[in-house]
Parts: sequence; structure tokens; C-alpha cells
Amino acid sequence: MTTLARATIHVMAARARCSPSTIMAVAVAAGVLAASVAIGVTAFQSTGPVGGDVFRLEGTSVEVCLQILGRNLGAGLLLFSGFVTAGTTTLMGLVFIGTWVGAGSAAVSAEVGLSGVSPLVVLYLPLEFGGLLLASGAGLLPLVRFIAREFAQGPPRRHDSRPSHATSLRLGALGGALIGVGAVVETLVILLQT
Amino acid sequence: MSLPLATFHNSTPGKKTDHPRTSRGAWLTVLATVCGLMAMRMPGVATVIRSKVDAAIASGELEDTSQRSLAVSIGITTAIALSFLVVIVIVSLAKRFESRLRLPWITVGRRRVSGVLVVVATALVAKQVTSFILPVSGELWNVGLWGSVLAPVLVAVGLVAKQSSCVRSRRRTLTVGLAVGLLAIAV
Repeated sequence: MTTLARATIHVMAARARCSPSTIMAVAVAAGVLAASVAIGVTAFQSTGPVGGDVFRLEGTSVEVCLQILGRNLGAGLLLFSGFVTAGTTTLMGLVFIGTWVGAGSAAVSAEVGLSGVSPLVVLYLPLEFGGLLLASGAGLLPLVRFIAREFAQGPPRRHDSRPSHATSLRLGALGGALIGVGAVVETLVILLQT
Repeated sequence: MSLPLATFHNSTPGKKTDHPRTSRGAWLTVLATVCGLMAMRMPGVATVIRSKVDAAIASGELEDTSQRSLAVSIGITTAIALSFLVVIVIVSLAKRFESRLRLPWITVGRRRVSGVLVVVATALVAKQVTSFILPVSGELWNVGLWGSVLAPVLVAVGLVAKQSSCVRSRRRTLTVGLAVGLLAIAV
């Protein structure tokens, strides 16, 4: 790792009051997710209208909210599962979910065009993506901390010698909370538009 | 009262310690070499994944044939991500348990490295080189492939075992070395 990247990670960790390993875990997750979304967008072949029912949610407002929450929280839990599988399922989940999101975006853009997408999505997309990223970071943290500790230069640092379970669980809970808030905001946006 | 952590870190050159460890540079060199070899092998892996997706389309398992490139891309990305993850984990675990496994040290050039590093590096490099040279068939039980990987590992374990001082120690080295080598190959 270059000196600049290491310095950046340490500065970010100091600002966010967390260990460099936490920043690294979230950064790895963000990198894999971004690459997967890009792959999904480029590899998707639009073969005509897919039908408006694909992304439709039906029922009362509570049912819609629960559907969104169940879908997103399920994805979040899959990404968090790397906590007990040495990051394997988190990586696989990131690739699958990222390509699914990318392909979905390409399908929507092919069907209604980017101008047809409501600008209100900016109210909940950052929350949902942020939540998924934090859940992924939580899933990758034990592995990243283990690798960082093994290949660290010099004596072990105070941050990296502490067990990462509590940090992982806190990060996962924060991710879940963001996903929950995102689901409520998305429901409100859907209700506003109908 | 906090203990000085530096006391337990074996980075002082020439200092006699109970648990000597191979330098970080040697482990990183092995990791970089294996990752480089794996990157060279990726076009072959992509061909195997492409043929598997085509087979799934031909058998009717994958119905939407228009999304062939998406399925291939997902397969290749997953394979790359998991392959690198597994190699990094194996090398990190080997480094972690290097001193506990207590395999004899051998001299490579001007450096003295632990037997664990020799066995793990041989297993990982042999696996990548053999997969690169032999035509990739996608079959799990390819006798030629596994035989070609196993042979250098056996030689490496034998070389490390030769450094043992007595018969009992040699027997232990052979057992532990073989177990480590087989694990590194199998994973």
C-alpha cells in the first residue's frame, strides 16, 4: 500500500474516530460494490420493454414499507454474514447485489430513460446504499483486521490488537438502522407520488 | 499498567527469541507472486466460465439467453474476488501459525525462512503454474493436475524434513508439512 493511501486511511480513521481497519473494510466493500454495479450496467442487454410490474409494490403503506424493508434488510443481512464466514459470503453478496442493482438501473433507464426517474430517489438511495455499505464493512471487518494485523509494519497498534466483534456488530446495527430509515423514506416518497 | 508491546515483537535483527518469524517482506513476496500468477491465469478461467454458461443455456437451465454476457460477467467477477480472498487468507493464516507449527528453518539464498513459508509457497505456486500450463478442463478430479501439484509439495516437505535433527522430529515435520501443504492445495 502506498504511503499516500495509508496516510489517507489514518486521517479518515482519526476523523471518524474508528480504527484504520474499519475504514479499509468499508473502502473494500465500496470498491467491490462500485465495480459490480458498473459490470451490471455494462453487461445488461436491453431486449425491449420488461413490463412495469417488475418493480411494482402493492398493498397498504405499512405493507409497502415492510416489503421494502424485508428486501433491503435481507440484502443487508446477507452482506453482514461475512462476519462468520471470513468475508466470503459478503464478497459474493456484494458481487450479486451490485450486478443486480446495475442491471436493474440499466433496465429502468432503457424503459423510462434517466429523465423519467423521480429526483426524489436521492432522498432514500444514499441511506439504503450507505446502510448496505456499512453492513458489508461489518461483514469484512474481522477478516480485514486479521490481515492488517498480520502484515502490519512494526509492533501491533492499540486499535488493531482489540477484538473487532463489538465494532462489527455496532457497524452492522448502524447499517440496519440506515436501511430501516431508508425504507420509511422510500415508502413516504411512493405515497407522495401516488 | 500496560505492557510494552514492542517486547513481544520479533523485529529486532539478531535478537534471540522463542518464536522467530520470517520477515514480512518474504511473505509479501510470496503473496504478490501467487496473486500475479493467478491474474495471468484469469483468461483461462474466463473461458471455463463462458463454456459453463453456454452449457447451462444449451441444457435449458438458463432460459433468458439474452443475458449471457451478464451471467458470464457475474461468474468471472465472483471467481476473481473469491480466488484472491482465499489466497490472502491462506497466506495470512500460514504467517499467523508459522511459529506454532515449528517446522525447521531452511536457507534460501541469503535469507533463512521457515518451513511453513516454503511449503505454503510451493503449494500455491505449483497450483497456479500447473493450472496455467495444463489445459483447464473445469473438472474437479483431474489426476494429472493434482499429481503435478502434489509432486513439488512432496519435494518441498522432504527438503524441510531433511533439516530436522532426529528421526522423531523428522517424522513430525513430515506429518505437519504434508498437512499444511495439502490444506494449501485443497483450499
